[in-house]
Amino acid sequence: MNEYSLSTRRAMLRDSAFGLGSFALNSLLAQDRLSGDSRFSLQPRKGHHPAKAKSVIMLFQNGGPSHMDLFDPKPELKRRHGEQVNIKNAMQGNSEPLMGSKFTFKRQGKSGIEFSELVPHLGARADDLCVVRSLFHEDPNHPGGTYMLCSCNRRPGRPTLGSWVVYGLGSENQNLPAFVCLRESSAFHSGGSMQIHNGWLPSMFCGTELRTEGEAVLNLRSPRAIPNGVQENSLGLLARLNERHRRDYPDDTELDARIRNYELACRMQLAAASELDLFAEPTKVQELYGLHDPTTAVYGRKCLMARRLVERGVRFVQVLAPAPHNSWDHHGDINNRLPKLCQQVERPSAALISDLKQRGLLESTIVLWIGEFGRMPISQGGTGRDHNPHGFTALLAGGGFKAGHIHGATDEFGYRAVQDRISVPDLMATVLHQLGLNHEHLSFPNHGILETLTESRITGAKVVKELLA
Amino acid sequence: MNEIQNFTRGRLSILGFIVALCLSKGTTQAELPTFEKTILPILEARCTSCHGADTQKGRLRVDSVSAILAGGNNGPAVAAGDPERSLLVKMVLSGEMPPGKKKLTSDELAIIRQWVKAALPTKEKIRSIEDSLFTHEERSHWAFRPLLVPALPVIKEVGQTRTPIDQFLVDRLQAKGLSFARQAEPLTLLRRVTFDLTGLPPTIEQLDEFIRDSRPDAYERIVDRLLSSPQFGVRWGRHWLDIAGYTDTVTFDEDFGEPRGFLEGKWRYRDYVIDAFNRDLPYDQFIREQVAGDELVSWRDAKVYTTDIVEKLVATGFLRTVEDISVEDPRTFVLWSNVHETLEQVGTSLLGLSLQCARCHSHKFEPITQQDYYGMMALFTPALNPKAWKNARNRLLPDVASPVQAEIDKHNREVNRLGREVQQQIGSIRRGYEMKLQEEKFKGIPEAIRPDLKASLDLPEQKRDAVQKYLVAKLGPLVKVQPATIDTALAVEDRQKLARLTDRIAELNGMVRQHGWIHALYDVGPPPPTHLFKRGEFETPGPEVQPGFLRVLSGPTTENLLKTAGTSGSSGRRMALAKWITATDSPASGLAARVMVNRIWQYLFGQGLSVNSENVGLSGSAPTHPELLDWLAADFRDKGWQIKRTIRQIVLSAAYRQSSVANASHNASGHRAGSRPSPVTIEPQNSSLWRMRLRRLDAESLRDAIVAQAGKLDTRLGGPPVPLVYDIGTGRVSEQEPGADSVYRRSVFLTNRRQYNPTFLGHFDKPTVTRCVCRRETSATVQQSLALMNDKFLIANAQRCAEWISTRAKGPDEETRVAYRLILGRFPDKDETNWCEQLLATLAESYRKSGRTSDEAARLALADLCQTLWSTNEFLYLR
Repeated sequence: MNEYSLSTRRAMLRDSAFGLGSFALNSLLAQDRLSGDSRFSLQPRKGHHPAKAKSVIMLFQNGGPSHMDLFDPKPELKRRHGEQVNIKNAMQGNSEPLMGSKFTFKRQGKSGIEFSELVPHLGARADDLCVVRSLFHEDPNHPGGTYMLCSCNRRPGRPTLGSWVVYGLGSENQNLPAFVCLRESSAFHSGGSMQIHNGWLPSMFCGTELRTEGEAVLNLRSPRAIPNGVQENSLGLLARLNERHRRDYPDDTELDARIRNYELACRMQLAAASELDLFAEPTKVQELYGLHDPTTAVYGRKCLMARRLVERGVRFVQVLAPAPHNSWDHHGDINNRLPKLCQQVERPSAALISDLKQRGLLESTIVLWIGEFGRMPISQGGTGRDHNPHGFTALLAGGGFKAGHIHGATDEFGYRAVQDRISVPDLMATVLHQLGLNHEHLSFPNHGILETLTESRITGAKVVKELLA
Repeated sequence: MNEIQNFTRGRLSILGFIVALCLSKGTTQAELPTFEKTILPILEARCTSCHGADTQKGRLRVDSVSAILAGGNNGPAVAAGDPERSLLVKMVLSGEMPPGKKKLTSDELAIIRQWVKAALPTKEKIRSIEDSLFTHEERSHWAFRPLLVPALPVIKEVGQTRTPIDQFLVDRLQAKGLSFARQAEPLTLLRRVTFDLTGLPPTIEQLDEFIRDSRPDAYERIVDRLLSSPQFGVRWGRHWLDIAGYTDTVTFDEDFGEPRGFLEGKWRYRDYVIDAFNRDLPYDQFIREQVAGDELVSWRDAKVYTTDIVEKLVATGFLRTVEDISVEDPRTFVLWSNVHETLEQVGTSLLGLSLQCARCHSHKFEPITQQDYYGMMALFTPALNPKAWKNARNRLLPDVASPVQAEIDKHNREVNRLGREVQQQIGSIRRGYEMKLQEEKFKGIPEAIRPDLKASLDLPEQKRDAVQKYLVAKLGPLVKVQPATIDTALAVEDRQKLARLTDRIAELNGMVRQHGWIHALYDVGPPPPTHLFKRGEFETPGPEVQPGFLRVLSGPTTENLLKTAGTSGSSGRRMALAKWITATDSPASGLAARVMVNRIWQYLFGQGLSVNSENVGLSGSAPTHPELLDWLAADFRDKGWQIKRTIRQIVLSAAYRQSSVANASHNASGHRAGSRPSPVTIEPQNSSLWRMRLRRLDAESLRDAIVAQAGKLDTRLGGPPVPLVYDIGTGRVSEQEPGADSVYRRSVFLTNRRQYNPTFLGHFDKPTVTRCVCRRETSATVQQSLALMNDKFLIANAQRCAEWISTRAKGPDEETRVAYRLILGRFPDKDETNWCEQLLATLAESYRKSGRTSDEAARLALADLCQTLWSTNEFLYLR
C-alpha cells in the first residue's frame, strides 16, 4: 500500500487498481453499477428478442471490390466482351465496351458455389458462406457509398452500425473499448473517422481505433520514463481530490463515470498489453492467418486481432482494407492490381472464418465482408472498372446466416441487381435482428424525431428472412 | 368587407377578384350552383373521406371554399373563374382522383366546372389561407405565437431576487417548495464568469484584484471588464461558428493529413464573426449582413472596395459553410444537395427548425408545407442556381473591386514581361559561356557520333527516337555543363552585369501586387424559375413556386417584403428573408429572438430553457419557463438586439450567481436542511434551477486554460488558420510544439476541419462538423483519462507551468498555494496543502533516487502536481 491509504471502500479498490488485484476489482465494480440511465453505459444488456449472435466483425473493403471478378461469375459478359452496350460509367460518365473477367471461376464445396481463382481460400469456405449477390444502393461516390454502408445514409453525420449495436447491447468486456476499428496506420480511406462515428448518439458509442503494430491505444503509456510509483502516487492524490469534489455532487453520475474511467485506464494499461498481444497466440494460429508471410502479415494481424477481441467480449470490430487509400478502387490495371490485393486479404479473411468456427465462436459472431460498392461490367480506359452501386456482392458468415447459400442475382452482365434485391438498410436490419435487436425499435431521439439506423419509414427496410438459417 | 381584409399574403388579387365578382353578380347567383347547395354534397360523397375534417391527405381538405382555395401540398385546388387551370378539375378529368372505382359522373364534373367558372359562389365567409392551412395549436405554439412582454410574476419572498429574470424563476421554485441555492463563493463565481465570457480562466492577478475589491459592485465591474475584453469575441464567436457549421475547408474533408480543398481566405468569415461579437453588432444587423451582406452594399459597380463592402461580402460566408464538393463532383444532384443543405443550415441556425423534412413532403410534425420549403428555396436559387452553377473556386470574389483587380492584373503582366526580358538577358549571357564550354567537352566525344549527339540533344525529349534517346542517356552527361562551371568561367564585367540583373529580378518580384479572396454568396444571374420537387427529387419537378416564407409565420406585415429588389443587380430575395427574420413587426422575429436568447441561456447555464436548442418547433421540447423566455426574447428584440446586454442581464441575476453544490439550497432562505425533503428528491433534474448546474469545460476552454496557465498563450486575434501536424504513425493530429520564443494561439484559430480535429480536442468532444452544431455533447470516456495521464501536450505544459510557478514561489507550501490559485482559481485548505506537500516530497524523493538533482527533482514533482490538478474534476468542471 502506498502512503495515501484512503478510507472509503471505493478508494481502497482504486488503490489496488494501481497495483495488483484488478480482476477482483473488475467483478466488484460489475455489481456496483451506475445508478443512471442504463442505456448510457457500456454494461451488457439484453436486446429486444433472443439473439442468435453476440458480436460482429465487419471486414470493410474500402474502394469497392470487383464482384464480377471475384464472386459473381458472368459467362454472358465474357461471351460479349468488347460489345458496346447502353451502360455508362458512374463517375466518368462515358460509355465503353463490355469487359469480361479474365479470371476463371470454379464450383467449391458441397454447396458448389462458384468463386474466382483469385480467392481460393475464401472459396474453400464456400459451405460456411452466405453469398448475397443482389445488394444495391444509389451513391456512386466513395464517401457517400461508405457512409451508406456504415450508417444506411449517404450523407455523413449519422451513427454507424457499430455505434448502434453497442448502444443497443453494451459490451461484455469492460477492460477494452466496446466498438473497435482496426486499420494500419498508413491506411486512410474515404469516409475517414466517419466510418466509426457515433453521429448524435452519446460519444461513448464511438468506435475506438486500436493499432495492430506499435502502441495499440493512444496515450496508453507515458511518453517519458518515470520512476516507479510516481504515476500511482499522483493518481492517489487525484482520487482523493476527486472524491472530495464529488461529495458536493453525490447525485452526479458523470463525475462517477469519470472517476471510474481512471480505474479503467489503469486496467487497460495492465490488460491491453496481454489481451492485445498477438504473439501470445501459438505459431500454428499465427501461420493460419499468414503472419509469417510479409504479403499476408499486415491484414492477417488485423484478422487475428479481431478474433481475439470478439473472443474477449468486444461487441463490434470493424477492420478496414489495407493501405493505400481506397485500395480496391481499381480504375485501371485491374488484372494486375486485383490479384495482388487478393493475395494480401483473402487468406486472412478465410482464416478468420475457419478459426472462429474451430473455436465454436462462428455461431455467435457475424462476419460481414463488404465494400462500399461493386464495379462496372464495362471497361474504363481499357484496363479498369469504374464504381457500380447498382449491384454488388457481400459475403456473410456465422451468426445464424444460411451457410453454403447464394441469395439474389445481378443481370447478365453483373451491372444491376435484378433478383431478390437487398438494400443496404435491409441488410443492416437483418444483422441487427440476429443480434436480438429490432431495427424499428432501436431508436434515439434527435431533433425531436425518434431516429433509427435503417429509417425504415423512408427506406422501407425489412429483415430478409431468406438469409437466415 | 371583412373578407377582403382577411385575404392577405399573396393571393389578394385573385381573391379580390372573386369577391368583386360575387358582389357584382349577386342578382344572378341564385341560378348558379352554390358551394353549400350543390358542390359540397358531391364532394362529400366522393372526396371528403380522404380530404375532410378527419383526414387530409396531401394536407388538402375540400369541405369548405377556404380550404379548397388554400389547397394542399400541390397548391390551391381551384383557380377561381378558370376550370381548366384548376387542379381539382384536372385530377377528376384525368381519372386520377378519386382513386378506386367510384368516379364522378360527367354531370357532377360539369356542375363543378360551372361553379369554378362562376368564381366559386358561396355563402361562406372565406378565411385566410394560413387560417385554413394551420391549426390553432400550430399557430399558437410557444415559439411561433406573437412575442409580447409577459407581466412579471408577483412573488411572496423577494429576498432572493436581483433581476426580473429571478422573479420568473423564483415564482416557479416557490410553487414547488424550492428556492435558490446560496450565492456561490466569490472565487467560484469569478472562475465561472471568466470562463463563460472569455473561455479563459482568471489570472492570479485578476484573482487578487477581485479579492481586494471591497466595493459592492465588484462583481459587476468584473462582468463589464470581461464583456469589453477582445477574448469575449473569441469565446462567443466560437459559439456562433458552431451554429453556422463553420470550417476552414470547403470540400470533402475525409483524408488524414493536410486537408484538401483548402481555399484561401475562408477564415475571414471566422474573423468577421469574432469582430462582430466584440463590437456587439446588433443581432438583427448581424443576420442581415450574413444572409444578404452582398445586397446591402453596391459592390458590383464599385470603383474601389471600401472596408464596409469587403466586410459585408465576407459576412455572407455564413451561407458558404456547407460542404461544397462541386469542384470535384459537378453532377446535378450534388449541386442540388448544396442548395438543400444551405437551406437546412439557415433553418436550424436562424430559425431553430428542421426545414429539411419538408423537402419531400409536408413536414410531419411542424406546420411547414412542402410549398413553404420550395418558396424558401426560391429565396436562394438566384445565388445557388444549379442551372448556372458557380463552383467553390469560381464563386470566389477578389477582395478588390474589378477595376482595381484589372489594374493589378495589368500591372502584374507588365512586371512579368519585364521579368521575362531580364531572364532572357541572363540566359543569353550564360548560354554564350555554355556553348563555348560545351564545345570543349564535345572534343572528348568520338568525332563520328558528334553530329548525331548534337542533333539528339537539340530535339525535345518526346521527339527523340530510340537511338537518339540512347545517345542522350549515355553521352549527354559527359557534355553537360554544370551551372557552377559557368559561374567560375564568367568574365568580371559579365559577372557584374549578371549580379545587377539578378537584383533586378528580386526587385521585380517585390513589385508583384496581390489581392485576397472572399468566400461570398451573391446572385449569379436573374432569378430562375423554382419548382417544387416531387419526393424531393430534382428529376421530378412539380409546379413552379413563388419565393416566400414559412406561412405559419407570415402576416400582413410581411407580404410586401419580397416586392423591393436588392441593390446592384441582385434580386433582393435574401434581403427580404433577413427582414422577415428580423423586422420587429414580422412574426418570424419573435421566433428568431427566442431561438437566440435560448442559446445564450444554454451557453451560460449548460442547457437552454428549451433543451433542444436546434429545434424549437412542435417536435422540440417545451421551455421550462416560457414566460421568462418570452420576457428575455422581447427585451432582446425590442431594445436593439444587443447580445452583450442580454448576457450581462443573465450573468448579473441571482440565478446565475447560485452555488452548484447540492446541499447548499436551503440555507439562503432560512430553511434548515432536514426539515423538508431535499431538492434533489423533489426535482433531481434541476429544471427549475434550484442550484447552478455543474458544467464541464468545452474542449477549447480546456486547452486554452492549460496553455494560458503554462504561460504560453498568445491572445492575438485573427489571421490564417494555424496548421496542424498529422502523424501517420499514430494517427494523431496535434499542434506544432511551440519553441522557446513562440506561443500557442487560441483554439479557434487552429485549422478547423470537418474531421480530424486535434486529437486532444477531439477527446474532449470538439465535434465533427457535418451540420450546424447548436449544442456540444460532453462525454466521459477512458480516452480522456488516458490523455490527461499520458498526453505529450499535457506533460510538456505541466513542465512549463512548474517553471512559471517556481519563479514565483519557494518551497512546497508556497508552490501549492500558487498552483491552486493558478489552476483551480482558489486557495487550498489545510488538508489539501498537506496532501500536496506530501506528494511533492514523495515524488521529489523518487526523482532524486532515479538520479536527478534536487532542483530537477523538485521541478518534476511540481510538474506532476500541476498535471494532477489539471486532471481533477474540479478543474474540468465549472462549479
